[in-house]
Amino acid sequence: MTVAGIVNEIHAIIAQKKPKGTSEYAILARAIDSFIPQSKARVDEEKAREIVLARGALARKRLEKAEGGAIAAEDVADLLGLSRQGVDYLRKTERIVAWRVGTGKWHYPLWQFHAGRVRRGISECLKDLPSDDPWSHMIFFLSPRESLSGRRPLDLILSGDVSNAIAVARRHQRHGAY
Amino acid sequence: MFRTQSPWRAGTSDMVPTDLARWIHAVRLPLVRLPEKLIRLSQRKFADPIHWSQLGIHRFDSPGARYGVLYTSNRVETAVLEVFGDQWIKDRQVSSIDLKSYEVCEIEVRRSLQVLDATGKNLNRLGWCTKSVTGIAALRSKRATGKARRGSISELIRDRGATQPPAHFHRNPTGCVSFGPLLCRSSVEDHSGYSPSSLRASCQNTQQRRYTRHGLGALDANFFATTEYAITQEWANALMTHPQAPVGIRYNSRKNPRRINYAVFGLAVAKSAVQLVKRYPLLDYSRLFGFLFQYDVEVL
Repeated sequence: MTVAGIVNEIHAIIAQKKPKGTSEYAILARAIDSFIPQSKARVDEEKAREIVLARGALARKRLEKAEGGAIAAEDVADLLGLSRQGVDYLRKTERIVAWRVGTGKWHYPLWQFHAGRVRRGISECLKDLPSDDPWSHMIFFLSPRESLSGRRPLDLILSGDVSNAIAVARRHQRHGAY
Repeated sequence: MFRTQSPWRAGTSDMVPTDLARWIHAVRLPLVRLPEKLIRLSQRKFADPIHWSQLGIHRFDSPGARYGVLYTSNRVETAVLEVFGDQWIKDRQVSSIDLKSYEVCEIEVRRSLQVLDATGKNLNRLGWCTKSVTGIAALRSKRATGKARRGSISELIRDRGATQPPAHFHRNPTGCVSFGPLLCRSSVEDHSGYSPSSLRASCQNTQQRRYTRHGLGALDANFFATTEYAITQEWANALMTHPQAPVGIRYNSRKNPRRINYAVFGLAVAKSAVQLVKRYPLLDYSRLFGFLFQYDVEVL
């Protein structure tokens, strides 16, 4: 049986037997964990790599759906009163957060918009982040941080504490001392 | 000597002694030798990974400081925790593109240099010194207040135990973050020989209770894990001008207190001794994914 065949069977089983209110990703996460040996010490480097990447694929789905999910470029254009090209320009100049899977369409997380505008602090943080990887941006805004006592940079932006959010962006993933 | 007015600077939540440098200079510092090999993670885009920061965005560097600060670790794993660990308290995620963008930089220290050992009981000792000095200052302040109002100072002296140390010396300050969750999720010994899983049984283990409540971790959380960087930056500034001339600070990682970091001050002697000897992609580090797996990290 091919990998694609196994995936199709998994799809069919999940579609048929998924308990109500349970996400398919939760099932897959459990499935991945069930394959991990009890003793972590027995996992070699290659196996460890496969596991962390598999978990990462599920984590990506969680980020995609976080805080109301994401919308397409056309919807962003409507929301901001811009042309489609205008939205592309904002994305290319890293003034808004956008992600895509593979070479597909760009998606724009809803949490960065408010009252027909890009929230204050989003562009400023993006400017100071050391990476231009869209998933790195998503992780930055949506991950609780120890140095913020468990709050996320997005929480700071939502509460209007933009200067602190920018300070976090300047420290983000730099070898300093948090 | 010490001011007879309140030794605390008003207007900050933790309150900072105004004569900090003076009394730090009076303290005999516990010094240790800076190791011959240090590790730093740097983005590949930077031509020179040895960066003496004066940006004021990290724990010990500030624009007004006499020297810049080079942040290093004792191991690659420690450096990874320093760079990525702040965001690993719930879902521990890192982008594979970000991992790809970093290099491991091996730094050699080519002469004997002494740094302040701010780990374990040494930190405790510094904390004790701090409390003693601040206690004396506070008592003097009360005595002065008593004299000023022509009253007896006996009550004030009797109540001196009520003098509160600054919040950054509290065992469990408000807002203090715990590294417990990060440690406990991993279930095997990490490369430092420290067993994160052993903390799960901490309530049944005296040694671990001491660790959490009275020992290194707690003190580290008090001072070296405060998010009031103005305080730690002021400490670093005072240490830079200390008569014993330490060239940096040896301190515990917040993410795993068994791991050690070194903040090196940019004195001329340190700058000439520190040499970059090797740099290679982080992804080429042979134990990277095993380490990320142990810490339950998800790589996107």
